[in-house]
Order: sequence, then C-alpha cells, then structure tokens
Amino acid sequence: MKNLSRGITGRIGKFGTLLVLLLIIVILSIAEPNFLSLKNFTNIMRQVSVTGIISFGMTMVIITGGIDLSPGSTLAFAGMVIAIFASAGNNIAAALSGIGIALLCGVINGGVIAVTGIPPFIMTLGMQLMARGAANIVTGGFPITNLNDTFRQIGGGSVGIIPIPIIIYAVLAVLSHLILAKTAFGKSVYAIGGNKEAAHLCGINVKLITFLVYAYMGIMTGIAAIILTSRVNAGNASVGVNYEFDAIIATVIGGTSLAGGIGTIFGCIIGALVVGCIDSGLTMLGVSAFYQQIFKGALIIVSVILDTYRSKAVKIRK
Amino acid sequence: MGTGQKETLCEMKQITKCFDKVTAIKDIDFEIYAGEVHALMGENGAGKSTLMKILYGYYSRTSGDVKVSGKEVHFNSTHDAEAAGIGMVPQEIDLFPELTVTENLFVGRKRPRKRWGGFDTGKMQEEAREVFEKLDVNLDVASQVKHLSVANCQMIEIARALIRQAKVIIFDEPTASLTDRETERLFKVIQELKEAGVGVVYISHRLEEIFRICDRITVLRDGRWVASDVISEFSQDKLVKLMVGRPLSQLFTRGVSRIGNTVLSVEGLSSDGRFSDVSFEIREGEVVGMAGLIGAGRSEIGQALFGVLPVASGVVKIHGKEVHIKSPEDAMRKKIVYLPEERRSQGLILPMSIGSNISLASLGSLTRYGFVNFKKEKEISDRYIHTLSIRGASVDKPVSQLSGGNQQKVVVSKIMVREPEILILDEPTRGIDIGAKSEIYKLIDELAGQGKAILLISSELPEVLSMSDRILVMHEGKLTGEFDKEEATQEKIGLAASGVADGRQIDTD
Repeated sequence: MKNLSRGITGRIGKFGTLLVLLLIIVILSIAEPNFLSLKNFTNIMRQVSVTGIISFGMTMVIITGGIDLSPGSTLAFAGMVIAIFASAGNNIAAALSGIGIALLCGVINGGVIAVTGIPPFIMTLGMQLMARGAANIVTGGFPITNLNDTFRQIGGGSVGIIPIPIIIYAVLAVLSHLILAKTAFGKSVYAIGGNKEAAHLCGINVKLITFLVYAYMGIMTGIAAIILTSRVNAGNASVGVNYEFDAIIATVIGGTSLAGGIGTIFGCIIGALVVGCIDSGLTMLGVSAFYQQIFKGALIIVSVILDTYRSKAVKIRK
Repeated sequence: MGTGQKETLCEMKQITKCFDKVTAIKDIDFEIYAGEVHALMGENGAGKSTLMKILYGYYSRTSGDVKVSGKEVHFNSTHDAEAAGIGMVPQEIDLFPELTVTENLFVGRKRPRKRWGGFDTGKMQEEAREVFEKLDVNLDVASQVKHLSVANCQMIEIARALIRQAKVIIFDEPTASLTDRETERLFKVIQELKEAGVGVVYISHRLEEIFRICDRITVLRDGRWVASDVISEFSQDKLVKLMVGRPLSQLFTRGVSRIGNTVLSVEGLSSDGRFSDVSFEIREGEVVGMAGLIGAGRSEIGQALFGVLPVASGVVKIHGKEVHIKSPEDAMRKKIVYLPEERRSQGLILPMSIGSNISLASLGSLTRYGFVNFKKEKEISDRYIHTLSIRGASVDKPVSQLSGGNQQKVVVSKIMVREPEILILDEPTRGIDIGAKSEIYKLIDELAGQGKAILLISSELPEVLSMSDRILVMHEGKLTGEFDKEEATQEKIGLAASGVADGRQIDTD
C-alpha cells in the first residue's frame, strides 16, 4: 500500500505538470475557441520567451537552494543601456553591454552570497532595489525610444514562420539543459542543493559553484533584456516588474523544489508554458489585468504548496 | 546498603523505553534518597539520558513504574514532572536570553499579580533574591540572562528548580563547560542542596568528580542496569570496567599486519578551541584506532587533516614531505580521504542516484571538456556496487531507498573511487547492522593489507580494540594515551579517555 502511494506521488511529480498544461489548454480552448491556433501559440511562445529565459537561470539558482528576486529590475537596467547603444545604431555594443550589465549584477549577487553567506533572498531583494534605481539613473527616468530597424528584428523578426525570440529561447533551453544534466558543473549544482555539507566534503567548491550559478542567471537576464528591449522598441526603466515571480512560478510549477537538489530544464519549459497559457487565456477571455494579478499571486502560493507536499513525499521515501 | 533508613524520594522500577522497534533501555531500577548525590554512570548511549528524560517527563515510558514520594506517577510533560518536584539542570542551558533572571525563574509558573492585574515585579524579584540567597550566590536578578556566564545560567536553572520546591534535581554533565573555580562553587551549591534534603542525580564522565561529591553510583551499560552501590564499594578501575566491560566479543580478527614506512605524520597540530598539540603517525598497512568520548576532538582532527577545519599550528607530513591542506579537494589530490561521521547529513546527497553519489567525489577524472562521461561513471559505480556488495542497488536508483548499512557502503565507495593512500574513517559502522559492520571490517582489513594507512575514529571500544594495530586516546582535545595492540585493554583506554591517564602518558603541557 505504501509502495503504491509512493509510486503515484513519484509519477505525479514527473508528469503532473504536463497533465496540468494539457488540462489548461483544453479548458481554455473550450472557453475561447481562438485559443487553440498556431498564431496564438507563437504569440504565447514569443511572450514566454523573455521570462522563460530568465527561468532557466532561476532553475539553476533554485536547485542550489537559493532564490533570485532581482532579474526583473536587472532586466530594466540592462534594457536602458541596451537602448542607448541601439538608438545610436551600435547593435553589437548594445548586446554586449546588456549582457555585461546583467552579468555584473549576477556577479555581485553571487559574490556576496558565496563569500558572506547571507541569505540569497535578502541579497537579491537588495539588488532588486539597486538595479531599479540604477535603471532610473541612466536617463533620469525618461524612456529611450526609436531603436534602429536591424535591432528591432531580434524581438520582432522571424526565420520562416518561427519568431527569433523563440529560436533564442530554444537554443538557451538546450544549452541550459546540457549544462545542468551533462556536466560536472551541473552535478555540483544538484549536489549543493541536495546537501551542501556533503558536497563540500566531496571536494566540490561550493562557493565557486554558487557564484557561477548567479552569474549564469545574470547572463540569461541580459539576453532576455535584449529581446524585450527590441520587441518594445524602447528602453524603459519601469519594465520587468514582477518578472522574477513569473520565472519562479514557471520553475516551481515545473517541478523544481524550493528546498533545492531537484529540478529540470524540461520541467521549467512546461512551467513557463503553463504561465504563458494562463496569461494569454485570461486576456482573451477579457479578464482585467488586476484580476490576473490576483490569480497569479494565488498561483505562486498554490505551486509552492504543491512543492511542499512533493518534498514531504520525498522525505517519506528517505 | 547503609543508606536504607533514608527517605526514598523517587523510585523507578523495571523501566523500559522503546523507540519504534529499538529498545533504548530495558528493565532499569533506579532510586534516589533524600540528601544524597547519586551518580549515574555509563558510556555514551548507555541510556543515562533516556532514563532521566523519562523521570523528567520528557519521554513517556514503555513499561515500568515510577513513584515519587511513594505515589505512582505518569508524567505527560516536563511541566507535570516539575509540579511533582523533579527539576533538571540540562547540559545545554535552555533559558530565554532576552528576559531577566527573575522572568526566567517564573516562566511557566504563576506570577504574583498586583491588585489591578499587572505582574508584581517587586514581589517576583524578592522571591528570586531569596532563592539565590539560599544558594549563597550573588546575582543581579534584574539583569538580562544574555549578559551572564554559563556558570551563572546554571545557577538560574538550579534556582528554577528550587523555586518550584524540587525534591529531586538532575544534573546532566554540569561541569562540561565550567572553569575550575566555577566548578568549586557548583560543588558547594550541590553540598548545600544535599544538606537541605534534596536528592541529586549527577551525570558526568569525569571520574574524579564522581569520587569527590557522590554518595552512591548506578552504572548502566547498553541500556541495562549493571550495578548500584555506595561509593566506597567502587574504585576508579572497577567503575571503568563496569562501564565498558562487556565481554570483548570478537567482532573480527584482523589478518597479519605488514607495517611499512610512515605515510602520514602529524606534529604538534592545534586548532583553536578544538584540539591542541596532537602528534602521531600512521604507517603503511597500519590501522590506528582513535578512541575517546564524544566531544573529545577526534572528528575535529580528522576534519582538520581533510582541510575542512582550520589548523592554527603544527606540521603535517605525507611521506616525509610537509603539506598544507587547504580544502577537501586539495586533501583528496594528496590521496587523503575522509569518511564523515554523519552518513545522512555529511555523506550522502539523498535526492541523487546511487551512481551519482558514488562518482561525486571523482567528477574531475570522469569529465572531459566539462562533460561527464556517463558510461565511465556507470562502469565505476557498478564495480563498487559489486565489490562492496551493496544490496538492492542499481546505478540509477535513488540512494534514499537503501538501508543504512548499504547507504554507508555507498559513502565508502565514493571515497574509494579516489584511490586513496590515507583513509580517515570517522565512526564507519555507526548505526548499521551487524552484517554490514563485519563487511566494513573486512574491507578495512583488506585496505590495510594493500598498504593503506588508516585512521579509525570510533566510540565503540570493542571495534577499536579488534581492528587497530595501535590505539590513540583523546580527552578534551588532547592525546592522553597511546597503546600498542598487545597492551591495550578496555580499562586502560577508558581511564585515558576519562582524563585519568594511564599507560604511556604523553605530556601535553
């Protein structure tokens, strides 16, 4: 009997998210027939790509047992710098500076967390405020508009019928998956989240790996900033608010445990699609943005409750 | 018995306590008379704490009778026990640091109130002062507890018991963190309690204290009662023998040791607050046992050699060459491995698979351009699963599904993959069944046969005695004894571990 229930919890953990996604698609398709179209699907994917890329970094951070609350603000800060260069016509400088700024924020997060051992929650909450402040300082709060046409292709263009953001998203998904599942670095990430002390006693450089994970998060945020800035054709210091929560929801719904040690990039993609479908579906159904906020707030709570039950199931198995 | 005419304050008869299927203590008799100091002795895990936690209402007993002042009692909480006159001064002081001395005394008790309903602080402080006067202790009852020394906090715990009119007070290793002067003051207070007719239960590993202040001794071993008698019937040697003296069950017979050159030598190694001036060496093919009580600094030495804990001074040499070990990875590159004491919290990554756990310390050698060679990982894991016969294991299975003994074999496999020359094994057989134990012993013997140098840290004396070529004994951060296999006995080791050095005394001052 015990074995049976264990098996079921295990299986729900693996395929549950996929089932939830299918269920949501079915319900929304019945409620709104236009929901299930190729056009809407590419639209959802295009929207998901920005927070989805952030959630690749978030997945790694959460697997180490940490959290990052700063990517939304970091994205705005990087976006401002990107827009300055892009409006001046220098696209390569725009891309490099965007990634560089976001990487810097990630490096500061990771460095302080690794060296001082303060809770990631506090460090990245502080960074959230600092990066938002920095984003506003760049132009004194004024948006930068009218970026060049080539740059706008990154967020708005397509290769064949596939929008470029989706291609970038897919490439980063494969890259993140390979890093997490196939490299020694990835194994160390899981080990640190599973048992920090044991990982240290295995000779894993816990501080270095922690640092690198937040740096990777920074790079992902920088790439997301390039896509977003290009798509909205502007640098705006107030963008990206609450994006970290979308990323956390996607990650946790995708089966990554907030307790650390467990999680996959595949799950994170499914989780991001769940968030994207709900966003798009509710908008199509005419639900106001304010109600959507309430719904999403509830969603993050529910997903963490589910995670708590999942962790309990794991503990029972221990 | 000579004390028979004294009033019996508390009587425990045939006490048994089981946790799930494990019997912690069985059929223990224990009684406390008014005005006596009764020592409760035994090795770690003998059942002293369990017995006292039952008396203090912290655990409920599985069977047996407890009578306090002749009346049968069933405590459901420590509160019940305190109401019946049982007090406890715990090893880890458990006060509210932000509250004042007076407030701490009244926690969980009815406080005197003023007419309008507020607390009568003046009256509370007066009561508190009275108690400390009785103890002849000078303490500001209005100061916050966080400003006080450990010794004074202990006095508050004693006062807490007295203010509740405790008839029996249990002291659990009270002198462990006291200075000599504070210890003297504590003994004076205990003397006064005794004269006031309080029954004192005194748990300590320090033999000289026992013989100084106690009137009677009860010895427990492996959860059973062994002896109870007045102090004059015991000598230090006899007491140690009773505590450790289970017949030396021949767990394992080592093969013939072929001991070669010195591999690891440690000279004057110190780490602040952990251990000081420790020197020893381990040779090829030699198993050096390290005995001592929990907290004597044995694991700390192992961890310092493995680069986990900092070293303040001293020299470590491998094959005669001085080394500075900065991290576990550094240690493993120098062919030193460490099997940690706590399998679950230090040894295993529970959410990971068996194969991942086995390969985790050797990722460097399994990796090319950063990518793990999973085929090689599987080969290596399979090999160790086979050699150590880890039952029920396959490479992909979660390690959390294995039994304790097989989990331990996974941790052993993990350090073996590094092909070490020096193995530091910290309690390698703790909490595993006899079968797995003897397999680990066999492995240790084989490794020694292959010329490895092994440091075996263990709290189980029979294990140390049957596995070691040489035995080191530690007491409070210092080496207090070193014995050859032939001359070592449980008694000699027990005495050295209690700080009453015997055998080849190493001068550490």
